[in-house]
Amino acid sequence: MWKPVLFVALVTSVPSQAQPQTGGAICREGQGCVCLSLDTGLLPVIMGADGIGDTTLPDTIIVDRTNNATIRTGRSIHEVHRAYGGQGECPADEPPGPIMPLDGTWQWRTLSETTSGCPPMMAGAIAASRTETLSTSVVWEGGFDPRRLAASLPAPEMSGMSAYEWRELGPNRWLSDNISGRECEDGTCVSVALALSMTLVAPTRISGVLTMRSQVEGAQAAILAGFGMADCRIRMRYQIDRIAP
Amino acid sequence: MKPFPRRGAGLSHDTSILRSFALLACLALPSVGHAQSANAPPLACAQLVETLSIDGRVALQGVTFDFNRATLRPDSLPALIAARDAIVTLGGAWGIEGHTDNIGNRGYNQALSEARAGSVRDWLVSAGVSPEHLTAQGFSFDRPIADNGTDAGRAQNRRVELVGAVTPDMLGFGGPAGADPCPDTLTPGTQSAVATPPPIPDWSGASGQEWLPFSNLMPTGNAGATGWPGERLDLPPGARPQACQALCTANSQCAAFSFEPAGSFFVENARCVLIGYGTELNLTRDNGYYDGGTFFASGLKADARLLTPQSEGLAAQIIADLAEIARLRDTVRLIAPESHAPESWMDVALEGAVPAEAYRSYVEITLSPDHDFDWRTSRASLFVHDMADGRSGQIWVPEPGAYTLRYGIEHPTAGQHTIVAQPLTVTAQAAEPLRSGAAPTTIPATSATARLSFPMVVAPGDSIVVTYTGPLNSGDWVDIITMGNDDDMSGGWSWAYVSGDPVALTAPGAEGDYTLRYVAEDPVQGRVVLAQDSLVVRTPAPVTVASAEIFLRCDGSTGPFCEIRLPAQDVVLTLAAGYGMTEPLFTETAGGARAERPSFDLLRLADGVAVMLVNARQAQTAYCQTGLSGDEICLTHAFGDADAVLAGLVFGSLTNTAMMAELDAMGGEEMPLADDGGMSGVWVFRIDMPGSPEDGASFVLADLTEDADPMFFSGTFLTAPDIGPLTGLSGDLRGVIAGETINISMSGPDGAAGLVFTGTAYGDAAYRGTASVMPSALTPPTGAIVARIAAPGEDWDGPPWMKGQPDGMEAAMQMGAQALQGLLGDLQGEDRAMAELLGTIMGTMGGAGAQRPAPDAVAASPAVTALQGTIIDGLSADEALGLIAPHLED
Repeated sequence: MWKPVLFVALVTSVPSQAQPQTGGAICREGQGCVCLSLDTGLLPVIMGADGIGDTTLPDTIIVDRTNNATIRTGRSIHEVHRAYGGQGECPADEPPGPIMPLDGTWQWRTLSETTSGCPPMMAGAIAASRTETLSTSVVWEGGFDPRRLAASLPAPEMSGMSAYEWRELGPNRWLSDNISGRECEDGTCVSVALALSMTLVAPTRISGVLTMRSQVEGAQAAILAGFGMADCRIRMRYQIDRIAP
Repeated sequence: MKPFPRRGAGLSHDTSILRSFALLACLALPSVGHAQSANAPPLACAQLVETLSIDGRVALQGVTFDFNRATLRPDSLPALIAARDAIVTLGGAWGIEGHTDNIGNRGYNQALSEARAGSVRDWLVSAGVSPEHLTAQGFSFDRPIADNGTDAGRAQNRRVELVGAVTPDMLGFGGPAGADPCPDTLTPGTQSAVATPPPIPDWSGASGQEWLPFSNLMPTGNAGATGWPGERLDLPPGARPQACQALCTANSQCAAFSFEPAGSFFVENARCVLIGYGTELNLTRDNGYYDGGTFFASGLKADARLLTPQSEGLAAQIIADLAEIARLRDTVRLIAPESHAPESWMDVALEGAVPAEAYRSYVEITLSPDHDFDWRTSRASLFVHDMADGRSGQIWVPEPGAYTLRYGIEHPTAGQHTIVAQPLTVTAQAAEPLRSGAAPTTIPATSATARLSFPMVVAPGDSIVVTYTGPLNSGDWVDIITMGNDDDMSGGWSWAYVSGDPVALTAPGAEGDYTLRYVAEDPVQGRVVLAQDSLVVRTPAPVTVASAEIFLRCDGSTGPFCEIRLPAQDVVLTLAAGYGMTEPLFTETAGGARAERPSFDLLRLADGVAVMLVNARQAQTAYCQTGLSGDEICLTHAFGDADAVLAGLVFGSLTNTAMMAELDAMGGEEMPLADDGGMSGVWVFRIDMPGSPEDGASFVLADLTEDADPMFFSGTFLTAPDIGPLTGLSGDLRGVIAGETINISMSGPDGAAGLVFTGTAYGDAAYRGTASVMPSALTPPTGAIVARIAAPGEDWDGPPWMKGQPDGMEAAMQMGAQALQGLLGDLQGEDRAMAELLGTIMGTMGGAGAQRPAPDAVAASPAVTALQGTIIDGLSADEALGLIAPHLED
């Protein structure tokens, strides 16, 4: 199911909207943190298993590089900074200015994925996707915009799914978190919610994360829940590289 | 080096021969003259040439147009091709004249005759005739050749004529009386001024989007034609893509063409697809050469481009690739004699060849024509990257015969193409090579050896993973051939180049006995088979086992599991109650080749149905998985709920290293003893990096058995869970000793990763060298000393992971769980649920239902505690950084 969802439609878009902000702190124990503003629109993607449908906003998301973990907390970025050994207030990182992507052939590559509560078939499909490559030719026409990348991707394969709507979070950064859908058959329904981020990190590279939650309701839900498979969460980290002119 | 003989070069230009030839033609061809209608069969190239030599003009019989239009009809192709070939044969300047009957006024017929002459000229130009050598004129109805008062006469008057003088000095014309001056097919590349080196036929390399060789256009369906939709035409087998292009060129409604050569798509005829304006098209590549050297080609008129975005990029790449190849053809020189003595070395040199590091290119002696890359006709090859200086070397000359010596490339995106080719005559009387150089007078026997390992019996079409050792020369390969067909160097039923990593071959689709072999491109001896073994392909059959065949039973429907230990067969496994097994046997093929691992079936005692086959004597189409120690385990159609328990136990327990060690440590039963030998016994790899904290630490345990040939040994291995370049891995080990040097290759169950150790003797029963992770080159080699710590049967000791407790066992169970996880994908419904339960019992089913525990280190982190933070499950810092601030990634 994930694959159609993935492509469901990198098709349409809406203008960007302002979002409230949460802090992000990239920290190492004993060395303090580098802090930045975090668009709360990213929270569903960051929180993944815990975040979709969660309306409580943490003050800070900590990226703990010492322990290779991500932590949510109600403390401010400055408190976090000091807890990790920093002094004073947390210095804010200035994100790079707009980067101009190069026209050419760009190729999707899955870097890693984590799953929980997913049926084996789903896990197998995700694992298989790691070997898939999807290439498309892109003419950016002036700047990074996921819609240009999406224009030539396969058309949606599932009916009833909403199309991707992209909004710009900042220079080089876009998010689509509107995708959701629900399919029912024989009294069992499967609902899917999906969020996708894309950040242009270099003229030839896009980095992003896809977060998906698939829940089963109805007759088979109890059976699947017994095996911990009624609430499937997937987070997939991917990269899109320009591989040819 | 001399170039190819020019077409006709060296032949006499004597006018008497010309006349004799013409006379013969006249006697043989009573219909030659001007009295041909457009519907008459087309004249062949030779007939056109003869008529021209006599009359100075010839009507192009068979060239037809749409009514009252100048659009060439498809049935004109044979006549047009013959005209093109005649012009190319003769060279020189030619006129195309259009004539009409007297229906209609002069002005109308003048325009029509000019347009039709122009269409023929355009076609000829598109088909490779130089436009400077062609003129087109229309003469309305002013030059009739028959009575316009009759239908037959008017048909004769509606014609296009080829006009020009044939003179003896024309390039390519002349030759022995009766010889056909026209070839079967001619192409633009073979016309007149033959360059040195000779051009390779079929495409010039000068292209734009109007001419895209090796490509195919397909409408996407997203945008339809605005007018004429196009048509699909069948062309005769010899048709060239230029003909299709010319048809499009001559049709004003045609926006694009796509030519499918005869032999492609398994069709006998070539096909020409003409596409109207307004249709969106998608471009794809096909780098193949088909019957007679034809190839796919397509193109769009300049005003008709409606390609998909990716097609635009692809078209640009095709143009760039072909320009690169054209440049190579202009610049590369192959320097070698035209004749040579057989079975000896010949010096060859290249100028302007592709640098070895760019992509593969080679010099080859072959029986194939330029466009054919069939290994069955290849007799010897020399890769550029095997040339010491990148531009010269020696190639082994085969038995006497007429060959082609060529320089070919394997372009990463444009495929295989011949760049330069020249004839090579091999005769016993041939002159000495131009450069005798260091050619050896005798062929020293190669010292290289190879070894193969693969399942002996497989089902038709099965994928076979082959591991091997060998010299790994450039161009070495493994293949499957029909048994006894030892001369087959075509790649057989399936083949793959070797690089040291395991390769996957596909078993033939038909049952039978085959040979799987290692073929080396030996730098000394040339192509040589270094190893081969039998491969039996059998269709699986349902397996039931009679009670008399049950070797061991684990009775009862519930109760304790049964531990099965069979040292003689090297088997240790756990059986669930209610199951039994047949006797493990080492199967042999008719050729006497013995399997490395024993085969046996696990069966339900209740009904005798085999539910699992281990190293199946007959391969099954059921789900198969490689077990912890490399055993091939197949689950049959009878796989059910309770059988899942058995499967889980077997996946988790069937092994002969860690488990054996564990049994020994437990002071249980006698260890299986391998034959004593120089390498047999228990070996440990220790880190050899003085100054490093890990120096001296053990990181690999290996249980080795020396083969009958003391050069080789094999066994199994287990790596430490936390030390060394590759942790937590177990699998098969193979090694070879050559003098003081040892090479050991270790690979995991899936063959995807492994360790390679290379070292030299270091005291008694020890070797010192480096261990490298394969295939990744990112991890630097680790200094290591390999030493035997116990001969077969001797007691030994080591850290807990070597004894399978607790870390080693945990790793083994984890691997069992991974195997089971892979299995789950093929299970359905309750079976899957049962297997899930089993996974839960094993406690290692990561992913399916189990929540990932929070990392202890983080939970204990004082910073996190102080901040009252909550760990976001499953999101590592690396992932989060990629999401939040990818510009800060390392």
